[in-house]
Amino acid sequence: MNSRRGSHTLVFGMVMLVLLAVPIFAAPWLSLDDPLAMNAGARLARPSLEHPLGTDRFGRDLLTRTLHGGRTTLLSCGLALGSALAVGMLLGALAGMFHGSWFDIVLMRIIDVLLAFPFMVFAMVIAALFGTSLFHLLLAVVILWWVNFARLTRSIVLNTRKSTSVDAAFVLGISPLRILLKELLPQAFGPVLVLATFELGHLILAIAALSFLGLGSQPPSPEWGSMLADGRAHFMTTPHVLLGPALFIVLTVLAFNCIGEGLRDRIDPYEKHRI
Amino acid sequence: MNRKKLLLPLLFIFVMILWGCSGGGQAASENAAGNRAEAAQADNSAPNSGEAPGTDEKAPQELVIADQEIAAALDPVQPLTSSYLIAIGAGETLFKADPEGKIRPVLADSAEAIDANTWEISLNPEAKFWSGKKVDAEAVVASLERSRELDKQVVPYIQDLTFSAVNASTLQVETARENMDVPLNLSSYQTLIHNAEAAYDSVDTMDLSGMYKVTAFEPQKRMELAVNENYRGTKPAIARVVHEQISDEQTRVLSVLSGASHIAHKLPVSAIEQLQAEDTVTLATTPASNTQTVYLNLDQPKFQDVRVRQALSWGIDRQELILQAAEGQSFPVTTWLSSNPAFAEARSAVYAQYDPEQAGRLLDEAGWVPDGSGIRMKNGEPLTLSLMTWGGDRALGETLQYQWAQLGIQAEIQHGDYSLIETARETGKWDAFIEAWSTFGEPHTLLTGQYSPEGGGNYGGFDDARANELLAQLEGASDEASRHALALEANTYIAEQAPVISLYPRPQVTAVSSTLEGFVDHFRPFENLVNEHLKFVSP
Repeated sequence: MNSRRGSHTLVFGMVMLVLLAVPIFAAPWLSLDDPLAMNAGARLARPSLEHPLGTDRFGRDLLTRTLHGGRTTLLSCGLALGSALAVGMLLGALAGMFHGSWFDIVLMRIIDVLLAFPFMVFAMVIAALFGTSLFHLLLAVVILWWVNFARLTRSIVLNTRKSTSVDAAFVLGISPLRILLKELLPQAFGPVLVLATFELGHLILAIAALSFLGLGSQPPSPEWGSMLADGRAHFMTTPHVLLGPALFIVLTVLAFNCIGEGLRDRIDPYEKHRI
Repeated sequence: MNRKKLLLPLLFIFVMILWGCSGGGQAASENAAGNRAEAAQADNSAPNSGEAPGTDEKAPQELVIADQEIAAALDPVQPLTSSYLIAIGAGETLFKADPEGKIRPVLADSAEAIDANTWEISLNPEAKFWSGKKVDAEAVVASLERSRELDKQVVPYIQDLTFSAVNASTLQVETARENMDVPLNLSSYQTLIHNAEAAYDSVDTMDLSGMYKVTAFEPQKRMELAVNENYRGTKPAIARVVHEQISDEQTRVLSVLSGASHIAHKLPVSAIEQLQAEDTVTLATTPASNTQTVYLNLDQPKFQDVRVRQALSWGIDRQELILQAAEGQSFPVTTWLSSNPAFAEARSAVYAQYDPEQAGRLLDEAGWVPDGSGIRMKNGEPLTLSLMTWGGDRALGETLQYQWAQLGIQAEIQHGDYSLIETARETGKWDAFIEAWSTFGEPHTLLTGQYSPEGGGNYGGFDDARANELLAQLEGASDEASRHALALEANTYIAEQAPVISLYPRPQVTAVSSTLEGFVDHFRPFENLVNEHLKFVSP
């Protein structure tokens, strides 16, 4: 029953994501306006056929900017999360494989420290040290975001190591690296994928929040968080300026959360009952 | 369960779409204003409350002012501190400009030119510092000399002046140049008169002469003031003032709309439409007599070629810039001094109109030619520019970035705190930034401060023989007509040669609660936050 419901949620999330991703990634090939082109004569225009989401204070088409901003947001989030995932899985697997070693002990203490560090504060520190840019923001993401994946991977590797098949592999003299790659890591892929899907939603919100504060993408690049910040001054008189980025943030996060929940139900249908 | 979870966000999205497309924000704003007004009526403790028409005896006696920035220190010789202390009624100068631009005595009683190089200033015999010490001629001389020694920004205003005390109530000023307008120079905020013997390390040790005394201070956060009971003139009607720093401009808008503050200063022009729709506040929008200026760093080789600097100016559509970045609340100026009404004829003395073709030709001549993608390159390097902005200038920076991009120049915007610009200036690692200095004052003093090699505002490092010669001629000019003509000539030459690009006078938007009466709008932002006639009334 859970599995079927999980499938529905998963399909719903996937469909929503595809519906969002197709126009976002096809934006350069769609005959849309230039996302950077200013037009003083069309400032803060209300939604119309020409500008379905209206225009911003510079007369730039908000639909175009929202779609191009989505490329920036999704690609950067995907890149940062992919990097964090790779680092986290590798270190977590090594820590689990060499459980109790100095490497494992040091790594776990580092993870404890990083888990206690608020991401927003850390991103602000990075911005203060190296300047405000999307690259520095993503650097902060990678530095802090890998720890969850490392902890999960380590715990799964530790659990799987106790299985008879792994014991047998050791007895047969198979190299630890091969055991890690062939036996242990594959067990972690599913749960880590579920976690990554949920984390992607959180990451989109975090990056949008930091861009809103001016710590991420810099002008004139469109990005959902910075678009919200730009539109804030006109919100009371022309609320449509926030509609595009706000709607896409909500729908994208919702899509990733649905996918995550659906994947979790499919991969481990009993997980929900245990929680 | 999952379907139920989805319902709420979908409902939220649906409501947002309907609201956004129907312009519901405006209605919501009006409703909010109505609700706020009702709440204010109901709650006498709220800042904007009141019962009877006219002066409200039950009205709060604490005036809250939300500002972009407040003093960072208590010592008036620290950068910009004197401007905030004057704005808030704590500090005074010998003279001040009234809203019509006429110079009036404050701590002075009168001023008289004895000859072409000598002025005598009579001091107000009632004037005292907060400590009770008299503001006599010796104290004024000591104050001005302390400022001269410790405040680089005061130099342009007093570098040609020598002060001496004739007697306790008379100050003599010798001028290095003939026919200087000494009262005008001594009306600048940098010449704030303070007790030079005081320490200024706490509110208890500082000693100024204004109608309000500082009672509590948290740097760059909050300053509290109470009426100076020994003030010589009309005592202010409002007992206490709080000057609060709220760096975020939109938060300042919300602060005054919510009634949390009574005056919100330096508001974004983008908020004008919203504020005009509210009946709980009135707007003051007198343009400041200053010029939004892009300063370029001559230490950067790319800006050492005057053709590049001129191209940057030709490539700016100032009319569009004002529309995009200042909501149309200003007028274009192409020379620095022309935001001063006395030099209005110089507003388009050079770069008379937007001419991107001329800009392109100049860049071509300078060797910066477009590559296949339209980016201007020279010796394999692209023509790039990092423009630092602060406060409400982000939109201005973004519009400039776009306009220069049309020329093939890659501009990067760095928007942040003003301290970032100060730090960059100290290290010399900067390309360009935007700042607006006052253009109200004696032309020679102003131009020297900005464009002479030793000028405190000459950030770009401009040192030009012809400009120096013109400034020297201006210094020696003996009559008003020739001074004006020379100032215009120097102003025009500088606009073509100096590493500065003049844009438009910075619009200043101040929202005043409708419960407050007596606010006086002023073209000098530091002159107007409080006055003795401010009082609370029923809305």
